[in-house]
Amino acid sequence: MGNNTSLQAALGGWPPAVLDPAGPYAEPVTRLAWALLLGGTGVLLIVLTALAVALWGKPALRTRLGGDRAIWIGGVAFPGVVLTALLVWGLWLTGSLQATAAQPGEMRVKVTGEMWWWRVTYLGERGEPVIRDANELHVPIGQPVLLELESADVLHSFWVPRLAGKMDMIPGRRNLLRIRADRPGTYGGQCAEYCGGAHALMGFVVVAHTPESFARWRAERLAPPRPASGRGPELFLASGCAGCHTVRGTPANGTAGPDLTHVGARRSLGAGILPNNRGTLAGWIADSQTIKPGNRMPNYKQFSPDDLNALADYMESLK
Amino acid sequence: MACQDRKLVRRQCAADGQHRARGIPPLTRSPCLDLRRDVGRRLPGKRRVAGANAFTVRTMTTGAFAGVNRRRSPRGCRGRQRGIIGRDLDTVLAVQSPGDRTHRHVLAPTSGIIVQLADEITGVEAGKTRGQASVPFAFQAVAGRAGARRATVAAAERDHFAGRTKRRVATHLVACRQKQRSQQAEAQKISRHRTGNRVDGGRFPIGEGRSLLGARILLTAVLLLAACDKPEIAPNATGGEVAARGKTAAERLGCGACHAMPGIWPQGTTGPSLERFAQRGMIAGRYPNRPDNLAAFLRNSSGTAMPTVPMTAAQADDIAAFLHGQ
Repeated sequence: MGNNTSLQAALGGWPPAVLDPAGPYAEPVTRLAWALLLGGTGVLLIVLTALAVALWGKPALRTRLGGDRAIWIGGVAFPGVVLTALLVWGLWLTGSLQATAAQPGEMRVKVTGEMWWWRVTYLGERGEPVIRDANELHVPIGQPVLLELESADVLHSFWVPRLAGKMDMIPGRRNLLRIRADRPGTYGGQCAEYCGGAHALMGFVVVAHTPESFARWRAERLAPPRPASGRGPELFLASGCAGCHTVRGTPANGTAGPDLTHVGARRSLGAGILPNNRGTLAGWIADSQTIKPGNRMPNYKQFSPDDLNALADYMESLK
Repeated sequence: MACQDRKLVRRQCAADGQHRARGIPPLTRSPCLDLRRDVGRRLPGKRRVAGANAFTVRTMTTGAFAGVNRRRSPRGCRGRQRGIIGRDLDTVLAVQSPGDRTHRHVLAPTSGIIVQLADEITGVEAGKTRGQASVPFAFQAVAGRAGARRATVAAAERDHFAGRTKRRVATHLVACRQKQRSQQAEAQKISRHRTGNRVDGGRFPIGEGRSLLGARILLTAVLLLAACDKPEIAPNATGGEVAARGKTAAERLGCGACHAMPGIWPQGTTGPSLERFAQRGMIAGRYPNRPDNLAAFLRNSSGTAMPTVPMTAAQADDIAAFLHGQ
């Protein structure tokens, strides 16, 4: 994928290391994967040895290999025991991954897959939306976070390899997934269920904060937005951007697209595919269809250079 | 190759005499200096500025002057190189001012070869096969008197400049190698020869560089290269690394959101395509397309549709090198 390097640069966690778990909800999956790989290799070696004996072994050995006893042991008892043990162990290991309903006081976030981005809504105690964001999930370290995964259109799959296994997002259903990051950092994620043309361009990032840093982040998001100056806000409203996008504190209250109240603070643009600066903002506004073909935002090619720059500056200032 | 350096020194002295007779301080303002600047601009990366000095002096002390001698006395080394020298001499003489008799046969062939070398060296890409005749020259320009055999070794050892030398040429050059070796020390001396070294108020800074650390490093690399059968330093690794850094920086900044750039995703269409940018005449229709102008423009593009994306000066330099080196 050509966008891997730009993602890596922008997000710091891309491509996600699949075999390097960073939390208790990813660790059993990795252990199981290694066990399956090593066990499978062992079985393969046994089979190849038997094959070699059958082809080139001494006649006495070959006779024993072809006898009833070898077939009962190697063909029935061995697989039966090994597979049963594996099933029991696997279920025991991954049983803890089954997400149950929210515990009192637990942080809840609703993540909705859309074609092709992630709507992120931080929920309050009673499930009411508190903070709206997109394509980025901020969590405190060392504490489980319950994700309520939904889809607005087609099947998606939420996958942060270092924090949890995959979980499908199914229209009309709510799937639960817990994640917990034990160290601060950024953890890349990616849609893992083919969902249309730009499926590969549907990335996101989980940012794990220390408790103090998370509290600061949360306070910033809850604070009333600062009024912006310049021609940007005016252009934003006059050009129809507000039909789809919300900027809190202004009349812009569309909900079809991502909430842009803090778009300047995001690590990436276009769902984890571009670094976020005024250059990429301008490029995205003018020509998002080339960058991410088929996405719901039309190209806005009517802006003069000055207008485009003013708009990009405004977006960048929305921290 | 370079078999008759003494004759050459005598000729240079004569030229210096004429300089003095005409009241011109030697080499304060000579075609060579212009050429060095010209060549320097075209070299990739760090060699662009400092390395050009080493480059020029080396060229002058090896192939170039030897070419003059060979042209005069066909007893010297033959082969296609003569053709090159002859052709360039004619070209340059045609351009050179008719009154400039002092430099006729002295600087003219030098300049021709330097210009050609600059074109060839800066135009070479890794893995491409070179024209056979140009190999000894291009290699010598970088590696001094390495000779054809070592040029071939270097070609096998991932030297990006050198291709395969023709056996015929190689034989002639190898025949000259004994003399070359005995004159190695003299070559060192010649790189500090008064013609090449003298400027007002001091030596030409190749030997005791004031700020030309890069030139000294390159010269060291050149001598190492000439001394070893297996070169350990790829001569244009620096240029490649800078371009690679530039590409990374361009990806990190997301230039692809508006521009199509080679090997970078996405290939945006809001701004112009930057494929084969080195061949453009102008930057944004405003400035001559030189790497330094480009780097400055990247850091301040006000007045155009391009937003000034925050980046460091080093990043801008790297990206300019990347766009000019593709």
